[in-house]
Amino acid sequence: MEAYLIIFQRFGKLLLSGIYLTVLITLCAIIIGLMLGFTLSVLKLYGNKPLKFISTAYIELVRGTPIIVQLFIIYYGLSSTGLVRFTPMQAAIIGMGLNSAAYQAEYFRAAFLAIPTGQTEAALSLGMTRAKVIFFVLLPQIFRIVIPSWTNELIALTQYSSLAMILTIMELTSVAKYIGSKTFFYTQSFAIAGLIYLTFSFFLTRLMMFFEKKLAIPGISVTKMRM
Amino acid sequence: MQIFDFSVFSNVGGILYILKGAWYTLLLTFLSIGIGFLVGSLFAFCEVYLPSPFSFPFRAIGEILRGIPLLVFFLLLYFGLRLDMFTSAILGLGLRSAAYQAQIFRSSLEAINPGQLYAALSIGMTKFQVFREILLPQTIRIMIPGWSNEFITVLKDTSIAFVLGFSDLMTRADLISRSVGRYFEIYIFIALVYFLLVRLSTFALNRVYERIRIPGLGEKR
Amino acid sequence: MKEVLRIVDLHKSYQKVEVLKGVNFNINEGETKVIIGPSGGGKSTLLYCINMLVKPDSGSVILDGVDITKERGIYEARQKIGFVFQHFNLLLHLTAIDNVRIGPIRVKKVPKSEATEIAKDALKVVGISENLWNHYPAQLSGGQQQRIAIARAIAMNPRVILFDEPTSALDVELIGEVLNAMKNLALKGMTMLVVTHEIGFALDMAEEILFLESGIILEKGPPRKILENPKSERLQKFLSRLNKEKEGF
Repeated sequence: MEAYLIIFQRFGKLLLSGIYLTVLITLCAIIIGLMLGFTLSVLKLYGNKPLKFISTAYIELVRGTPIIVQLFIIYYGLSSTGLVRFTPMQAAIIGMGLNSAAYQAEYFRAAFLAIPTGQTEAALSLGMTRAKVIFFVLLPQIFRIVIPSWTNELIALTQYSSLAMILTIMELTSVAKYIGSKTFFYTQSFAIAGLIYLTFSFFLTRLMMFFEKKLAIPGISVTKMRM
Repeated sequence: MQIFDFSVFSNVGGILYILKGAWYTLLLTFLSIGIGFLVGSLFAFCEVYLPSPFSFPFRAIGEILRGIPLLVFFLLLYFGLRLDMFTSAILGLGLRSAAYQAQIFRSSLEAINPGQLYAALSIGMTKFQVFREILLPQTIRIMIPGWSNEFITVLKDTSIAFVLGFSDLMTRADLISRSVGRYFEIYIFIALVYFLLVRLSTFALNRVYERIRIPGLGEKR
Repeated sequence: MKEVLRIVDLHKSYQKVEVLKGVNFNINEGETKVIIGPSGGGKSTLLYCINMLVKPDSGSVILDGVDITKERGIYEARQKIGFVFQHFNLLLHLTAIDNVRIGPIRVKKVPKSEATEIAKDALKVVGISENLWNHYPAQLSGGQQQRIAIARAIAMNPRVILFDEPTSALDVELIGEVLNAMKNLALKGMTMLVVTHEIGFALDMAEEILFLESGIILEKGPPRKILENPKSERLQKFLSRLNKEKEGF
């Protein structure tokens, strides 16, 4: 239908900038989530009592509350207390990053637990310190085990980045709504946005399968996880 | 400016108004999960048991529903198809949940050892009996952990219906905090309410699981 | 002959159950000692306590005169104690030669070229041919994996190697190659403490057999003597049960 042509003609650039922001938010958030999440899982598994408690509490609280509420606390909430005032982008990235960290922590923890305990025993009996065991023995294996769940998390983040619209960020979904409001071709613009998100999912899934094959080591099996 | 102003909570009327939103949140959750269950199981069935050319559209729809953000789906239904707020919310959450539940059903169905089915057939059971006596009871138990997860996810995702103006916890919190001008306290408050709801649901689901559990069947947690 | 390892009054309980009730023995340089006994008697626990993978409740493990249960520096001590596990425990993400090399490189900080030479020698001692060096554990048989595990222990140049039922997890036809590798090692002068059911190995190679039952060393002595003239009734029962299994009951 010509509706699509019109949308692309008039708003092509806007769509691209929307995609750009979506990708930006997603990437920043997943990286924050990766670093914090991994640390949390190590603390939860190998830390002393207080550390275990803190990491478990964080994971439970963040996974037990909706992401919108978390975003609002960071954006509207904190600024109303006058402590810090984040820009919408900052709030979005921090919020999604902190949220992703809790989920990634559980994925990493499952990966750690999937490694047979004999591996750690053998490494320790060679005289390795705990740090060395994690770095030289567990990490290389975790890296492969965690690929499917991590990719799922990345895909999920891509979708949840749409919530940034509520913080007034002009990412893809926001752009689609704007286009709809200007042209009244709501269905078509959202369909386009949806298609773009779908393409991301598809692409990322294929990417994951590629890496799984490339990095595979016979004997290390990958855990398939649902979110 | 204070960091945490407890006086916000002295506005009992407002607080109660927010809490009543929990009822709508739960209502939305149950309705959506219900739709998801019915549609999802149907889809899973078709995907697994229909021969190739026919099973494809079911798989495709599932992938599409899982591949687009919930928010986009809501907006599509509300602005695009011009459905009313309530319908958009239920349909949006419901169909999306259907897609995920179909996944869960499907992998549970596939997890059942086919050897049992052959055994059942060879003692003379009809396909329908095999389904009712073996597939169904086992699938239900294998499915519980994944399904419980989905329930919690839907419960939390109801907050996204806020953009449609649905009168749930989230929307009401937004309303009250705007009128009071204090956001931090209110949102921390509903975060705790949601957390409580999630905890209670998990607890309840675990109780059900314990009741119907069969040792040796089902996923290791 | 220098004393390498001395175990003094070792006690260990799990929950309320006391598994080791005061174990005493020693091993001198170059000796091979074999521990036999019924399951649950504490044999594995004993070995795990020696390299402190499990912390004993009381008692001492004295390695080359140093009580490693009291001092810090367990990581250095473990470098001197080799351990061969029942289930091999090769590092799954590394090839055979990497498995043998990783100890020297990462723990002893030996330069890679030197570590590679050490690894190659160790692999030759246990009879793993060069064409297998770049295989991953999952691609190798149990016997091959276990021999590589032994090479891994050798490569660290330990004072003593502990073997926890090294052949129990192997298919029957693979047991021989592992026992041969162990015999080879003993003949080269390695100090070895072996927990096993393979009485034949004990007869061939052990200076002494220790019978561990219900948490203490009930009887010990040279293989021939112990096996032909068991003094305690429990040892007699244990040996007769072993014989019955061998006769294929």
